[in-house]
Amino acid sequence: MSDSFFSEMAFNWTLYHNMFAQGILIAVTLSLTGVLVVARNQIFTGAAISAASTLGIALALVLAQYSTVHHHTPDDDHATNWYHSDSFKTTMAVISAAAASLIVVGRGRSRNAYEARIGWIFLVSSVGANLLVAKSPHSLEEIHRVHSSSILGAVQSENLLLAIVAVVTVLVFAATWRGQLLLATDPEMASSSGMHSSLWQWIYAIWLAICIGLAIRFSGLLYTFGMLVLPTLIARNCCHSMRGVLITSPIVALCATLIVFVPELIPGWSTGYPSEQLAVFLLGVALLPAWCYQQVRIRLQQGRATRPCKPGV
Amino acid sequence: MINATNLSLGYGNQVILRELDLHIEEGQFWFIVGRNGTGKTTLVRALLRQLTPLDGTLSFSGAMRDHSRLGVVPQTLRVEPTLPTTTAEFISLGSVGAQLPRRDLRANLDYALERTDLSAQANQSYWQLSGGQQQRARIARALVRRPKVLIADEPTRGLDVEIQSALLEQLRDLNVTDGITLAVVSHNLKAVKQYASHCALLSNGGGVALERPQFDTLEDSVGGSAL
Repeated sequence: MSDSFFSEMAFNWTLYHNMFAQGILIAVTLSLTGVLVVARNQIFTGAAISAASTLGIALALVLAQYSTVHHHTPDDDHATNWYHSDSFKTTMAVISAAAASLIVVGRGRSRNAYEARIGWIFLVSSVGANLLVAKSPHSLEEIHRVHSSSILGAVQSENLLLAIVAVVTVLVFAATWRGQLLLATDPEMASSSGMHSSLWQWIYAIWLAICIGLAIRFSGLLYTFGMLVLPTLIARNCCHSMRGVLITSPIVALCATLIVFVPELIPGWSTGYPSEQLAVFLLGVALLPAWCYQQVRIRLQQGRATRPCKPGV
Repeated sequence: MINATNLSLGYGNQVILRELDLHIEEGQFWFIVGRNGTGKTTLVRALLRQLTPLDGTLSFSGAMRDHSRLGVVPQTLRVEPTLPTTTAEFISLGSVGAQLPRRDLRANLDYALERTDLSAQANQSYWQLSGGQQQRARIARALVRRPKVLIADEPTRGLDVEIQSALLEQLRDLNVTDGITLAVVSHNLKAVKQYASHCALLSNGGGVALERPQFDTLEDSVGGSAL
């Protein structure tokens, strides 16, 4: 391999390392959190919260425009700068996600009411985000970018924030995975076992909102929702236990991210397709053989269960 | 262990159960019986501290002071059936909140599997167990905490008569051999007469606690042999 190959690779690394790190951090965080989302049978909660987060970004863009138009005195400069900052968009994305999460995550009501709330949030947020910025081409383009997902332009400060969220998520799961799984799968039992169910439900709702809100802001809707549910769905089809799902899900997400992002670093290997969408597509395709494997496994197990016993056994 | 005096329970302004006196002592085998809507599950929720009494007092002592030695078999199971889980894993989740040393978890799991005759199915998918085995796994999930008290809300619901009897025999064995205090919600008056040492009979918004010699008049009290 020539020197130019390595120098080009080093150049690519300089160019893409933040994007690479961000893809991995989001994949690990969301694939772990996604285990609880899938275990609670709340897959579309992820979609609704993601849409709400997009609405938050649209609101931030509108407020930024408003602050520019109504900018009268030099004292307004500080506020206007804040409204135009990335931090403001991120804050709005997380706040909107938190509001949606708190509305839908509570499990007290019937399944129908829950589905209705999700549908309402998803539709109102999706349409609202587009309508809010419909008359501003620049803002509309940004919302479309959020919808289609892109990590291009990731910066170190964002990654630091995501790294903190990822570390906290991994540590909390490592320390309390049994409790989290029990709470997700059987809240009544968790409550009677002495767990503070309602407190943990609140923590879960807020944490889910932070993870999704940040991921949406930094990577967009498709990558966020894809990483939230697809790795867990693949793991669910391949594993025999919930613990297996918990371990396999982040590994699947990590593999998909590496398969898609590593070629971007190697000269001549780039596919030219958007990496985030390619990762989600790869996971979506991988779900099919995983599902087939599960069906075959179930058939074999059922066959074994119904096979007549040998005489005397 | 559990002392209820003049206990009234309900939700909001709606009173479900009025003025119940109940004193559950260690080693007793209680049945909580009554027709639908008489407050059996409401009483269980109060015993699990999930419901605050509207009136009267409900106090706990001994093993009931905290949740760590309390085993519960809920009436409904809300685990998502598409989620893979082995019988052993399903049972081991019952140890959450029991504050047991890690080394004891394995021993407790073995104990729970053995006491419910599920050792052979430990690594099998929970979803492939028969109805009776699944119900035993739910009891095992309560046993993994090595409980002093076991509260079971209609554990024989939906099972055929033969499996019901086997399950109740197993519960009696836990009471007699392991000294576990039991409170079992049921509609089955025959089972009460056969297995219970005490019984809380709930009807018409109220309730009465009975001891074994009084069971002969149980059918007269409820106006029939079935609830």
